[in-house]
Amino acid sequence: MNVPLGGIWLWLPLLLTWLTPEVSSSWWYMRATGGSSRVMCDNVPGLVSRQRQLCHRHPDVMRAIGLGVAEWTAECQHQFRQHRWNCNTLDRDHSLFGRVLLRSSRESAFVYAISSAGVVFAITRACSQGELKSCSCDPKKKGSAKDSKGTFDWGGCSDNIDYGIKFARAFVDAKERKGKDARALMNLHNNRAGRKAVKRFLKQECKCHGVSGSCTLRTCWLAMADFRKTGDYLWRKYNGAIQVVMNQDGTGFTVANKRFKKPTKNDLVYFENSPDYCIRDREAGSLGTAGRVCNLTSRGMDSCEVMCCGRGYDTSHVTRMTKCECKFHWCCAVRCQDCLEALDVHTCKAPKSADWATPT
Amino acid sequence: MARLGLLALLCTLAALSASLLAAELKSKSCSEVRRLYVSKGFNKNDAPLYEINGDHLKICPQDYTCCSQEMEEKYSLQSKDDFKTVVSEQCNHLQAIFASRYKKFDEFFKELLENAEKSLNDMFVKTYGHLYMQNSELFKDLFVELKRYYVAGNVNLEEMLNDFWARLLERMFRLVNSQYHFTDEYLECVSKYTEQLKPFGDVPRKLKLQVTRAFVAARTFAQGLAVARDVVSKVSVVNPTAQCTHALLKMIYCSHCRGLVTVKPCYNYCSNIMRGCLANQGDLDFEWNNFIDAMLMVAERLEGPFNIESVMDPIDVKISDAIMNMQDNSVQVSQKVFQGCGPPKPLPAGRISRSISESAFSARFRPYHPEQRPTTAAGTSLDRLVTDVKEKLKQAKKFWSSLPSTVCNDERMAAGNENEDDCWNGKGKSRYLFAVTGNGLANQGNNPEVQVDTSKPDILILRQIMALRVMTSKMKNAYNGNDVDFFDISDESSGEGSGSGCEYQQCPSEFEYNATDHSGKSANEKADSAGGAHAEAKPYLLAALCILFLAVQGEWR
Repeated sequence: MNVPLGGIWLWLPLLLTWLTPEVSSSWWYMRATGGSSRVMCDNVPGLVSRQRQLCHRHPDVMRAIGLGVAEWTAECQHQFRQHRWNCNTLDRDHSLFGRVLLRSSRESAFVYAISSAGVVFAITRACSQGELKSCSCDPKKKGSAKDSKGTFDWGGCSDNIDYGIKFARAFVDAKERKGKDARALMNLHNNRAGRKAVKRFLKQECKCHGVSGSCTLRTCWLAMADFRKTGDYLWRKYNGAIQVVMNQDGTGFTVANKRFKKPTKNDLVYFENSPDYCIRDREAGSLGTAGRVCNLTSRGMDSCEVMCCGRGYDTSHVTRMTKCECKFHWCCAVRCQDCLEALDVHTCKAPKSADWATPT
Repeated sequence: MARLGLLALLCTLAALSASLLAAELKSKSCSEVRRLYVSKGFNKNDAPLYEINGDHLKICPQDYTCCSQEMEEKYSLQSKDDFKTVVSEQCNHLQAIFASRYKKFDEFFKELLENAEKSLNDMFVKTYGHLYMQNSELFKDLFVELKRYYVAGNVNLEEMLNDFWARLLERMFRLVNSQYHFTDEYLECVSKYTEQLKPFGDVPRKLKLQVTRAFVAARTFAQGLAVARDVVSKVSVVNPTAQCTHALLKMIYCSHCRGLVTVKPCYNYCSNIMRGCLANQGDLDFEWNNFIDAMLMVAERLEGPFNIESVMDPIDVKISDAIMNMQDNSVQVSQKVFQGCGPPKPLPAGRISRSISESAFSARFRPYHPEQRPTTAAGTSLDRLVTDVKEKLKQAKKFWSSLPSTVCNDERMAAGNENEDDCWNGKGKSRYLFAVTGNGLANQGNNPEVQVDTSKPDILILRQIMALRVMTSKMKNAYNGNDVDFFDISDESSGEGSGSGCEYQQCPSEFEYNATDHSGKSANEKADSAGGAHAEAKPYLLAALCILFLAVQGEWR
């Protein structure tokens, strides 16, 4: 089952470690599947000793986390799809998001929260599917219980989300607990908010047992909802994130603006205002919006006026093939026709004065 | 003339008095030694009233002594018995722990299976009624196989479960398409097609994983307890060598010969003798500790993800989940099957009406209000059993390396650590000056008290080490959720004393050869005390050890 990775992929991270002055968080790089746990654990740069220890001891959990990275990064990109910074990942950069996360901005807060939530989700799901040897279905959900519809038996496989949260906390927070600075505290807070968010969407599902149509016995279990729900929830938290400063004794936060409420455990917190992400700024990790697709008819963040930062946009006419007039044929096929669709695509212009500095 | 005679008389009396005084000073009383000797049930005529010349003694110091030759012989036997008794007490206690825990676990698992089967039957009678009762042998067979696996082990759980689901699918497919007649060939086609369709959802896959892991862990753990019980039982029977017996006599009773009946042996003196006499047992410790660690690891799994109680208690609900999945998907599944396997033949009209009447009959069952199903077996729960055993296992670590110290801590055997300066050191009441040797056979070459032949490991101990190593390996497999290929270690074969470690083809003959050689060497020693006989035995022993090593290497590869 273990397919050895190409040689370049084993050594490239080490090379990049030398080239990159600082590493913000590197367990995110564990996206590759296959390879022995020794190779994987020892070649991910930036893992602290506790993380490496957990990696060696629980290779199956690491695989689940690695497979889950694609899911929470996709969710991040979905939520930021209409924003100037769109949670794009840099495939050749082991820190995954580049230098944007070095700034203690609300975007960093969201990424830390969604990534922690993604780890909880991935581990808990792998648990329920029987892929992890160190956990199983929630052992507390057994016997009989009652709900508004009457008595039921616990059956199926209730998601063992407490195990997922516990492991995610041990693994993801291991690095932050080594630091005592403001950024470490911010990350710990946002990681925790992300983990708690998943638990909010644990719902009870039930099933009737008996001959067709009857409900002689009902069994229920707790299941995590689709990860999109967690993403949507954290997106609302991102929009309502609270700017904080460290308190006098350095043990916690206080709000930067006294008129705002204090952050709760469910809120995201940040220290620094975000850059505008309009132009390419290597130092800030901003790629700029040149070449981004924008929406001419929108009034939101993806409108051409906002997305292009007032620089204007180019329009190109494209045609594409789509399926249309689909019909069901007995039994059992769906057949569609091919249709040609013409549409305009608008992309942001590059900054005029800096053309020489930013070759495309 | 009279005055001269008086002087002579006085001189004679003075000389006589001096002679009497000297005689009295020279002979010390042995009354206390005699009393203790008699109190052990020995013949008081063996024991002298006063110290005698000790030239007749073989082991104890040969100066003036309270011991006759008969006393030394009796004390030698007694010291051997004392030693065996103390060691046996320690080992019997541990053996009883493992025996009782094995019995409890065995009872628990068997009763758990019985409860699960009864629970499934009760639930299915109420939810599926007549349809279940017509097909109940399918589920009975499932439990028969699960019990057989636990008891005998020669069941492939994965294949067994695959077979169960295939048979269940066949029955259900007939039931949901009762208007048709299906030949065996057609049903074979159905099962091929439905492998991809997954009519039962993901329940079969999950259940297979859970059952396999839980049963392997439970069975391996129970077998581990049985092996521990048997290993301790075999090792607890110690037969001291002649050198060991000499050292024991010297330690325990030679002080009596000196009249020092209340002086206990020095603790370190006792430690050295025990490490010499229990050298082979000390070698067991490394493998024993590995075994205990492996047991503790499997116990963690049993308490957590491989909890057999969590798997078996809801197994009826899980199977019912699968049945409901099939019922919900039956239209789509049937359509795809008919498309792939061709249209089946309809039944004659008369049978259709009978099927309808069967369905009508089952619909008359009233809803079932489930009571709390039994979640305990043998009056306890798995969590409590495992927690209890884990405590005992932790206490059992280092048992063999600490056995010498444990024996010396017994007040019958040695003085405590606090009496290091006024204790019996084998020669007198003083301090014991030699350093304490390390544990195990290899360290006994320099033991100042017991002459140990470090080139002759105990065959019985080697067998137990092998048994522990095999079981440790199985534990690690069980911990990782892998199936364990068991050799059958039944109670009967353990009782025969064939040795649970001899599970390799060459093993019995090699051990038999070695045992014979050992006996032959003993005979030779009696006939010829020359060192030549000693040297001649070594090549055979080394050859046997090499073969054993190669066999082990081959097995692990």
